[in-house]
Amino acid sequence: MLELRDLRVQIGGHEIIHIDELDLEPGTRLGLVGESGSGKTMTAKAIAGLLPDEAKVSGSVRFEGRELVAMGDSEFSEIRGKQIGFVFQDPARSLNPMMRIGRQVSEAIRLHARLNRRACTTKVIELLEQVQLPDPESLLRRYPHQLSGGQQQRVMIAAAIAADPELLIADEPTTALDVTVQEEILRLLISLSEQRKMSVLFVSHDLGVIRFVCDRVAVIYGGSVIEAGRIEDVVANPMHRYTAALLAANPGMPRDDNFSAFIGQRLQTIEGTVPAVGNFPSGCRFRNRCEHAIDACTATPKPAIVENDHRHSCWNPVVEG
Amino acid sequence: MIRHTLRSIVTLVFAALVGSIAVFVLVNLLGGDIVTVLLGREAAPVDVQFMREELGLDRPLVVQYLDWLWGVMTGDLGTSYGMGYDIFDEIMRRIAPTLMLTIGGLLVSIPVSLVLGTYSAINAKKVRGGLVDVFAQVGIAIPAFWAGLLLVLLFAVRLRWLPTGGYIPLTEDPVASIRSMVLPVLALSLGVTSVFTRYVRTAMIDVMNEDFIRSAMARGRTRRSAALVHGVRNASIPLVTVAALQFGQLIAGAVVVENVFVIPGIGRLIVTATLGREVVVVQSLALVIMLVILILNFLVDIAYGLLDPRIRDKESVDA
Amino acid sequence: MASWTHESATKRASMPEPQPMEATALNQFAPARPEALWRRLGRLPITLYLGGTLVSLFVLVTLVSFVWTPHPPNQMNLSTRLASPGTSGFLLGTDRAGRDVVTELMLGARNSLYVSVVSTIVAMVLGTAIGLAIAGSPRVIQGVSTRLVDAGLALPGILTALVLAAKLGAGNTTATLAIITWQVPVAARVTIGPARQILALDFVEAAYGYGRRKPYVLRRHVLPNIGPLLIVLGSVMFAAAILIEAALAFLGVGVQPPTSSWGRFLNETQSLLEAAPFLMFFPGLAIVLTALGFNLLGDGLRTVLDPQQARSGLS
Repeated sequence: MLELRDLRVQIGGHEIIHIDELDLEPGTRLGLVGESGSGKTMTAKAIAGLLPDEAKVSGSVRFEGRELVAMGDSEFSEIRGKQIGFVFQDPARSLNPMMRIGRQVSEAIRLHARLNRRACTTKVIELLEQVQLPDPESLLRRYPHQLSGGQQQRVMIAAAIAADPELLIADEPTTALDVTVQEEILRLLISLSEQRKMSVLFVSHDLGVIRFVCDRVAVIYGGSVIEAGRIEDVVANPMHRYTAALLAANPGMPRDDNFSAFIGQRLQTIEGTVPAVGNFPSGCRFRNRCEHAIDACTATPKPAIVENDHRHSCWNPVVEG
Repeated sequence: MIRHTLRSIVTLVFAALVGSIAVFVLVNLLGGDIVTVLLGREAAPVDVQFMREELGLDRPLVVQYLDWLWGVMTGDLGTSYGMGYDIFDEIMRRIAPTLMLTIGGLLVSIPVSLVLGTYSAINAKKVRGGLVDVFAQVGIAIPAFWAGLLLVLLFAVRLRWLPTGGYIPLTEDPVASIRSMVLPVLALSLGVTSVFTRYVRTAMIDVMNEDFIRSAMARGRTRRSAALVHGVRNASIPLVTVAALQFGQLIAGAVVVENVFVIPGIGRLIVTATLGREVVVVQSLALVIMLVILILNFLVDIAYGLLDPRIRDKESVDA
Repeated sequence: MASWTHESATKRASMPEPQPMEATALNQFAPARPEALWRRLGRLPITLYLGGTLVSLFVLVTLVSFVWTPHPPNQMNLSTRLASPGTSGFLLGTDRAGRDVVTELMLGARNSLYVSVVSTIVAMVLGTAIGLAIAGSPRVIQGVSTRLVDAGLALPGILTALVLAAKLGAGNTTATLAIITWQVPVAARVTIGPARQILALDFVEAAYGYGRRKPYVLRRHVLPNIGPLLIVLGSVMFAAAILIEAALAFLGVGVQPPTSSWGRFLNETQSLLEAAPFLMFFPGLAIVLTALGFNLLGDGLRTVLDPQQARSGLS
């Protein structure tokens, strides 16, 4: 239902995003993983049409058959909220402190549906219950600052799914929350996705979280997808050197009930930091930090298909055995 | 909220005391002797002595000060030496026109500045947005008295649509009363509106960068709609505080505007008294005006506490 | 992967080519070329130029007035009173006593400059000193003092001006004193915030560490760092002084005849609205342009010297 083809985003004369191909099937959850500065958030924004004015976008983003690139703001505003919902990182800042919760959650409904006052209120209470918030009736009149971080994020989620979107884009939704609350919110997202047959595009720097939530993953570095495939395949057999390094640096791969067991383990790090835009090397953008770089890496890689649509773009991939 | 109110009250009382002391010091300790000023240099010592006793100037300063404050509260401020009117009565008579003028100024400037400032912020990157800012800049530099003269020239002298001045109480003839107030209020609000507009513009531009605006757009609002529905309410609440800071400016403007348009208000009274070296009158007038401003500030403070939901429920944080 | 060709391809064709990666990588090591002075001057904000021009004009006119005016100062000539602009010899006309408007304006500029310079300098020096002192004092004293300053701010300066004038009589001295009293709390208030921030920085801690005392720190560390802020403040305060001096003169409380003043000139035109409507434009315009000039200059300086404050600051 979501297809990205040759999507390029330029800001200030530098090409910061170049995604050859990225697909999201209906009802599935795709994770977009990468370090800070990898371009994952920019990609999400590009899909949503929320890039700054200076950005030049080209290529194709097809959503349910409609082309999103170069779509006008007012046309796009019909789609946002109604067909695509968003959950952002910091719920305290993403909610208007001067507006009551009920109004903010119902905003998408009021914009896209014709419901009278009472029907709207009923729907909002339903939504708040679905996100497992206690005492929804009294919540309607409260203000964001009266809630905890976890509760605020639930409100954000309720507001995001209010108009029953087919796709939910979540950008680091749990990063700003306590660890204890993170798991609850993630489980909530999973259950909502299954119940509503809603696809999720989950952006995060944490491969462990993505493994917990998503079916498929696309690893992003330097604005491009360097590896993509089913989550289990990628985690079990990482092909691109970057993915392998990322996995090695991750404290553990939680699945279901062993989430908190992986806190406090020794981390392996990746040498260096993500270069600023414009300072990437030619060819494979990771080659400056890669222990296994070879001469061939100076040429721009092409994606290779391995098996069962697990693809990568590494010249010197990890080999079995 | 309670804490906030208490703090506002303390500020009010504190500022009133400080201000009254400042005025008292200025009048009694700076420059020459009050009596000499009132009677003139060549006054006979006998007269000077008599006046001194009359005015109670032979008493200790602290006593004089307290007596004066007491007078403000009981309504006994003495009489004007030069003109013979009872000071308190005169003040009470003249307060209505001044209040009408200043409140009118506020009523005009707040909505206008919200509209202009928001427009300018939404169109910040286009020429028309910048143009509004330029006009606001110019508006700040235009003194209220010149604006008044220009308005009189155009609307009263040339077009004869409105009167050149004067004042008619609202209760007597509402229509004529408002007609006589149009030009003065416009002249007065020009400067204040310009200041507010620049503030609203800055505040809106800042608000537009906030995350919740992005959330609103994510739910389906266009940039403009998000600005109007979410942005304006967030930017306008602090406007209330900015307005409070401009009360002084409003009063200063009222003083000159009353003189241009011959409005029998406090502003005109204090100027006449000053020119007539009526130190006693000016001292009390200054205090009264100051108190009015401080009370208005206090009311604004309370209003702000009511409007901002974060203060309503929690203890407020030190600004 | 084949590029997806449809309407977006045309958009891509119109996009400028992104910089080749190799070139940018190498540029990291190349020495930076000094930007042409012309280019840098062009990037300065327009407010700086506009303001600077107006201010320079003002100062220039004032200085010239000491050496030359179109007509002798205060020369009255009742036979040519209320002449319209353009009458021979009188570029902008004459006032009700036959004095040349241009000459009157130039002389008025002198007065404005004098009062504004003196009051702004004194107010800034006093205000900054008080502000620094408050910023450096212990918490409790800071709290009380700041409230005092706020109280001073809330009171309109015009009241002080009038009180002083009633006691001391009208005149330039009174006006200057009044403006100073009006502006000192402003300068103090503006200084307190940034000064406190700087005092909280690590390098100040370090200075205390090797034995520097508070006054030294305030003088040598805090003051230079708020320099840009003070320059901007000075410009804005100057504009305010111009307006206040004009207002006081207009009311008759400022400088007295025969010294010329824009404010008093404007006052005289009020009774002449029917007879000579053109007269009131000129002194008014002079006041506006001068005040505007200083305000714009302050704005421009603020953008150049402290962009962060420019974005969110309020004068």
